[in-house]
Amino acid sequence: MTRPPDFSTRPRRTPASPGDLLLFAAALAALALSAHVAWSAWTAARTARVEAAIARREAQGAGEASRGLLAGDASTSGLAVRALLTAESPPPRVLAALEPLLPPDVRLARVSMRYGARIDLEIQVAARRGVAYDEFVRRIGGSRSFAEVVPETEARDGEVRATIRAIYVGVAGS
Amino acid sequence: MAAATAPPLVGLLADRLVIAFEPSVVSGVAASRSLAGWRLRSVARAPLPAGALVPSPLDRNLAGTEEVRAAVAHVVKELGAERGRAAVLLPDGIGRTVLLDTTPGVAAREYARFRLASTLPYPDGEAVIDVLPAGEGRVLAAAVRRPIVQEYEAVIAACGLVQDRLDLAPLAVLAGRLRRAGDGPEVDVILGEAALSLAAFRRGVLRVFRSRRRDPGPEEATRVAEEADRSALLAGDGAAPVLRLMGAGAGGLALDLAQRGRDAEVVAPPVAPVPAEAAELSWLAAALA
Repeated sequence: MTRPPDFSTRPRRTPASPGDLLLFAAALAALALSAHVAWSAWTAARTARVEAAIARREAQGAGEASRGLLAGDASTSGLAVRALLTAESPPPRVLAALEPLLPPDVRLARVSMRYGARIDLEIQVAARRGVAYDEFVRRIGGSRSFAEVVPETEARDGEVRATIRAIYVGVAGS
Repeated sequence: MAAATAPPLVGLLADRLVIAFEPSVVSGVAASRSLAGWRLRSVARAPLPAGALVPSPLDRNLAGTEEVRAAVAHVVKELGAERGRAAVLLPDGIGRTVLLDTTPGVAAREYARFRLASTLPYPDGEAVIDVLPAGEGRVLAAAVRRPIVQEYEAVIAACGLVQDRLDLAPLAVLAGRLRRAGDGPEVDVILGEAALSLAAFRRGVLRVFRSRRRDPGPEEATRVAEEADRSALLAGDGAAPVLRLMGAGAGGLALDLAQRGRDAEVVAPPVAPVPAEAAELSWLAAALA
């Protein structure tokens, strides 16, 4: 397109080159993309806030409900406590609390968990050396996650096979 | 002072306002864009007292600044275009023009400045220079002295208008004619009140462009015919060219030429019916292009 003459004394605007137009188009695209990303992020944040509020309300409601159940009759309180304990201390968490207490020569053979008014554990371990087993007993006895640790059966014929009873009290750390 | 208003057309996209200066009158047109193109909406004219505007390439043009400002304000009011955006046309006789062959890769405006600089009677730093592409690698370059342009710009600003493009009337006319030139030898005579421009075409291409001061009188028709023939000769064709007259006094000049046995065509504005106020506006076709 031919630009008509212009004898104005005002500063002339340099006509945009194809490169300028290309850069302008790229800038517009980048602007649109960033606007889209910002909008998506804002939407996601808003959704997360709403979900967090819902979860908070549900947790609050569940707490109130469990307290209500605990205050109820004995037939329902056991179930309620079990449900609460299962929710708060699932088996993976209990096992995770045991793991750091195991010396290198000691492995877990079997762990039974009984969820009731409390979480009773029956832990069967196998240790290559008796010293290692003794160390495990010492560690679990000193752990704040476990209480009422009672070593029971123990067989020492080369390696040590033993059963320990304890309760999980769910205190973080060991 | 007079105004002619055509039935208003609904502007679909934009309006166009053109203000043109001549020594005796300020003219303005408002046009609206419709689906059929630009349509003339209204025309207004306001006369100027003698001596208020004297076109000159060197000296101050607006001796009666206040009278010129009042005339522009009147035109703008008649057009209903207060605070509008206006293209401005300056009269013939204030610029220096030259037809140049350009070199590919060289900025035409810079080349024009280089070529015009040695011919200007003032420092080229004072010149506002621009070019009109004329086809086949040629441009019609023109220079106007900056203080003179600023005089007109100040009047436009004082009337509350936003200035758009500012052009010389003969160049604006020529821009419209370049698209319509025929194949045969033709000379367009663009008549301003103070000066006239001759544009000689051959095979549809602008070959010569010259400007002359006007000297209205009984012998003007003869002089114009001689200048037109000379322009055609310079354009490389000795045959009697078709004369096309447009602008101030085109009808009377065509009559005088006819009495001397020389045919001339008067180019009428491309609107029908032509408002009386617009009959001799040479640039109207370009304004509506």
